[in-house]
Amino acid sequence: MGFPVVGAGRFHSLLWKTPVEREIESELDFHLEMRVRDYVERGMAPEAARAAALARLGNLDRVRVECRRLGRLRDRDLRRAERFAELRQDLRLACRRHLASPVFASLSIVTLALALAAATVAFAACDALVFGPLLFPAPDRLVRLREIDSQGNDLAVSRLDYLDWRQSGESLVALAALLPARRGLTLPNGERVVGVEATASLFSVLGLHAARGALLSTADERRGRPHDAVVLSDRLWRRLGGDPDLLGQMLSLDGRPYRVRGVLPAAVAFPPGVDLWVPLLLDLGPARQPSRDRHDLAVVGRLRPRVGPAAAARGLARLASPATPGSGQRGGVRVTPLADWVVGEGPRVRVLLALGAALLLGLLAGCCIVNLLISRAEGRQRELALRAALGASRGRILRQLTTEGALLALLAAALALPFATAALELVRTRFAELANAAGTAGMAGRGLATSFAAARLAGLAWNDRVAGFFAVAAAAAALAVGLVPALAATRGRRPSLGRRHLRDVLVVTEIAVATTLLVGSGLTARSYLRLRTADPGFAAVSLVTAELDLTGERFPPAVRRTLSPALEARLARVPGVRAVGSTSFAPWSGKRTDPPFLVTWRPPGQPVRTLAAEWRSVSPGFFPTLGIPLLAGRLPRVDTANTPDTPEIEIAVDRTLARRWWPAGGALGERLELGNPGRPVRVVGIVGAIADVSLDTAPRPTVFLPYPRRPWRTLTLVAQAAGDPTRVARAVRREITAFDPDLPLVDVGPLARNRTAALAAPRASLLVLVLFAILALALAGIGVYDLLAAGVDERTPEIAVRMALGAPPRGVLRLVLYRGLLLAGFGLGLGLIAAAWLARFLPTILYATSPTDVLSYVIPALLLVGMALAAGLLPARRATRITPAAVLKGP
Amino acid sequence: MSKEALALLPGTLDALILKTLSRGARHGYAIARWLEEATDDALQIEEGSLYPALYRMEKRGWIESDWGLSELNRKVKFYNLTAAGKSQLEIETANWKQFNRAVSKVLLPA
Repeated sequence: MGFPVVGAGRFHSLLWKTPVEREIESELDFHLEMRVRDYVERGMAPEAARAAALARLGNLDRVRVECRRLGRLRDRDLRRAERFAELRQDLRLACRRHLASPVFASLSIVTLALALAAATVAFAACDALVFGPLLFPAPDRLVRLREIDSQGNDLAVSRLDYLDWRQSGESLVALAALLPARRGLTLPNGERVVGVEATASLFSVLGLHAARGALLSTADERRGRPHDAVVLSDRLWRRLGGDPDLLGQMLSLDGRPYRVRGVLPAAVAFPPGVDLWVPLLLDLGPARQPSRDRHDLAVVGRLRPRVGPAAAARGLARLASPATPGSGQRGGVRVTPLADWVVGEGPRVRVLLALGAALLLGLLAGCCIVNLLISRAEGRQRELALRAALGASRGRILRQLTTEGALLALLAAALALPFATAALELVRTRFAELANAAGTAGMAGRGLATSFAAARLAGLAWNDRVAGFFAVAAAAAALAVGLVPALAATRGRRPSLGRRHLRDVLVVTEIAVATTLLVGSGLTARSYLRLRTADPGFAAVSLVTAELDLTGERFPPAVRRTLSPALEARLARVPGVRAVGSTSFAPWSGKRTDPPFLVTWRPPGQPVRTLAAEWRSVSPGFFPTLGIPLLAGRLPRVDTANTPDTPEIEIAVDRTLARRWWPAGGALGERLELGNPGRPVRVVGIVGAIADVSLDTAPRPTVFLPYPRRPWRTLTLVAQAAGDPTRVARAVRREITAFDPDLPLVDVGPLARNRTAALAAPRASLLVLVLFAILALALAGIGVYDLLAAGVDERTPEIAVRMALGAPPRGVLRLVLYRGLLLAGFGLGLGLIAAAWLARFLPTILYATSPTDVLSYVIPALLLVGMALAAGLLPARRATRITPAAVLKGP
Repeated sequence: MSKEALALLPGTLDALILKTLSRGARHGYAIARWLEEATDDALQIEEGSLYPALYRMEKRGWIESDWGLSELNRKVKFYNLTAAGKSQLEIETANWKQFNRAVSKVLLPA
C-alpha cells in the first residue's frame, strides 16, 4: 500500500497528540455517557440505563484492545507519511535550487560521479590484485623464501638448506620446494603445457585439496617408483576431455608415462599459469650427493602464527651459522610475501596508485563542492532566519540543507554507476587482449607476474566487495557533501569567522591535493617519456623472434645443438631476412635467469669476488642480428667451444659486468668460474649491454655463452627484417613449419608487439594520473576563484574606504591577489610534502626517474601559482572597479 | 420495538459510516445515532464494533479525526471524510448496487 493522502489537519492532530489509550477511553466514555443520557431522557432509571448502554456497546475490552492496536498502526503510518512529506518538500526545494543554477549542479554531479566511478574501478582492480583473496586460505601467512649471497644478491635455495629448514621447524608451519618441470605436455594444437616439480607439501602449505582424486603424497617423493604421479589443473583436465575416468590413467609427458593422480579445483594454480605438477625428488640417490652451494629450488612456506617475515628470515639465517662448510658466500635468508611473487610488485603499486589518486580526486571534488555550497548558502542567511522565525527548528533547517547537498551526491552516484560499469568493461577488454598477448610463460618471475595481473584484471567485474565499496563511498560522499555545508550554514547568521576558516581550510586542501596529483602525474610522465625513448642497447624495431620449446625426450642436448645452426641457415634464405641469430631467452618476453647465475672471480692475491649475473647462450649471429656492438676482443668461437671436452669455455661478457670488476678495462683474457659448482671460462670479448628482459628492466651483468655449450630448451631465433616485420614473421613461421612441422613453436612475431605491451601499463597509469591532475587543477582553480570573489563581496565597504582614502587600484589588486597566493602557498607547501612522502612508494614503477625528480615538483608548483593568479585576476579586477562614493553612500 | 432487528451484512458497516460522514463531520456517538435513525433502528449494530471500524478507516486514510467541542461543550473527537474516503464511498455504493441487483434477481424474480 502506498502512503495515504494527507491533509494539513492530520498533522495538526499529530502535533498536539493525545496518547492512543486516552483517546480511546475518552471516546468510549463520551459514547456511554450520551447513551445513558438518552435512555434517562426516555424515562429509564439511571442504573438500568447504564446497564443497557453497556450492553449495547458489547465487549468493551475487546473493543479497547482492537482500537489500541489499530490506533498505534495509524499513528505510525501518520508519522511515516509526515516524514515522507517533509522529505518530498526538501527534495522539491533542493531540485528547485539546483535547477536555478544548472551549471554548478551539473558540474558538481559529473565531477563527483567521475571520482566515484574512478575510485570504484581502482578499488575493483586492487581487490583483484591486492586486497582480494589469492585463492589460498590465510594468504598473509604465505611467504617465498630465498637465500642471499654475501653481496646481498638473491639466490635460489640449496637442497641441503631446504632440508635443514624443514627439519628444524623454525618459524614455519610447513614449507615446500619447486623446480621447473623437465617434462611437459604438448596438446594436439601444438600448445605447450607448463609444469613444475613440487614436493608433496606444496598443496598442504597452500591449503589446497583435490577437486577429484588425490594430490601428491610424501610417498611420491621416493626414488625408484614404477610411475611418477601427475596432478592436473582443472583447466588442463577439461582440455583433455574432462573425463572422470582420466584419474588413474597414464599420461605421457614428453614420451614418459605418468599416472594421473588428481585434479585441482578450478581457477587454482600455483605458480599461476602452471597446469601440471609432478613430484620433486629431493633425494638425488647415493651416487649424487647434492652440494650445499648448488642453489636451484624455489621455496614457499607458511609462517607460524604471530611470526613475521623478518623474524622468520632471522631465525632461518641463524640455523646456517653452526652448519657445515661451504657457507662462505651465504649472506642470509630473504622472506617475502607470496603475493609479491604471484601478483608482482609493479601491478600492485600501479593499482594502489590508481586507487590513491582516485580517492584524492574524490576528496578534492568533495572539498570543492562543499566549499561552493557554503559559499552559496552565505546569500541565504535571510531566508534561513525567516524560516527559523516562522518556527522551523534548527534540525528541520539542517535536514533541508543536508538534502540539497546529499541530492547532488546521490545523483552523482546514480551517474557513476553506468560510468563505472563502462570503465570496468573497458579495463576488462584491454587486459583480455594483453593477457592473450602475454601468452604462457615459464617460472621466470616477471613476465609471469605481469600476465597473472593481466589475467586477473581481464576478469574485472562488479562483485559484492566492489558494490560494497561503491555504496560506502557514495554514502560517505552524500554525508560529507550534505552535512558539512548544512552544519556550516546553520552555525550563525552573519558570515562567521568559523565559516571563513572552514572555507580557507577547504581551499588549501584542494590545492594540496591538486599538487599531489600533479607531482604524481609529472613523475609518471617523465618515467613514461624516458621509457618510450629508452634505448634497449639493440635494434628492436624490425626484429622478428621465433620461440621454440625444446623440452622433452625428443630434443636431447645433442639435437638442440644441431637444430640451432640448421634453423639459422634455413631462415637466412627467407626473403626479407637480413640477419639471423639465436638465443636462449626470447627478448622482451619477461624471461630471465631466475635465480641469477653466480659468477666467481679469483684475482690472484685478492679475496674471491662473486656477483649474480644473467646468462644467455647465443649463436655468433646473435650479436650482428641485434646490432650489439663488440667493444673489445672477439666473439667466442663456436668450433672450439663446441667440444664439450674443451677445458675452458670462451665467453663474452657485457659492458655492465666488465665495468663492475674492471672499471678501468682489462676484462679480456680473465679467467672466471660460472655457476655452482664453478666451471672455468675465459673472457674473450666485451659486448654492449642490452635490456632484453623487458623494456623497463635495466641491464644486469650478463654472461654470453656459446649456444652449443649450453643448448637451452627455450631456443629463440631472432631475425632482422628488411621490410614489414609482420610479413617477415609470417614467412619465418612458414619456413620453420616447412623445416619440421612437429617443432613445438611457442610464438612467432615482430618484437615491436612486446614493446607495445610493455608500454601499456605505464601508459594507463599516466593517462589516469594526467586526467585526474587536469581535473584537480581546474577544481582547485574554481575553489580559489570562488573564495576570492566571495572575499571581495564581503570586503566591498572596506575596499571602498581604502580607495576613498587614496589607495591606488594597483594596491587593491595586490590585496586580492595576495590572498590567493597565500592560500596557494599553504596548499602548495602541504601538497609538495605529501607528494614527496607518497613518491617513496613509486620507485618500482618509475623508469630511470628519481622519486625526487626536481622538474616533476617545480612544474606543478609553477602551474598552481599561475592558476592561483589567474583565478584571482577576475575578482581582483572587480575590486578595482568599486566606486567608493556609491558604496559608502549605501543603497 | 416490534420489528425484528436484522444482522448487518459483513463489510457494510464501513460503507454506512462513510455515508454518514458524507453529510459532515460527526463524533462517534452521533454516527451511531444517525445510523439508528436513518435505518429506523432496523439494523442491529453492536456499537462497540463502530470504534475499531473508525480507527481502521482512519489508518486507511478514508477518514480523518480532529478534536472539537460537542453540543454539550465537551472535548470530543470528530470524524471527517477525506477525498480518499469520498471515492471509497462511491466504490462501496456501486458495489452495493451491483450486489443488490444480483441478489434481487435471484430472490425476487419479476
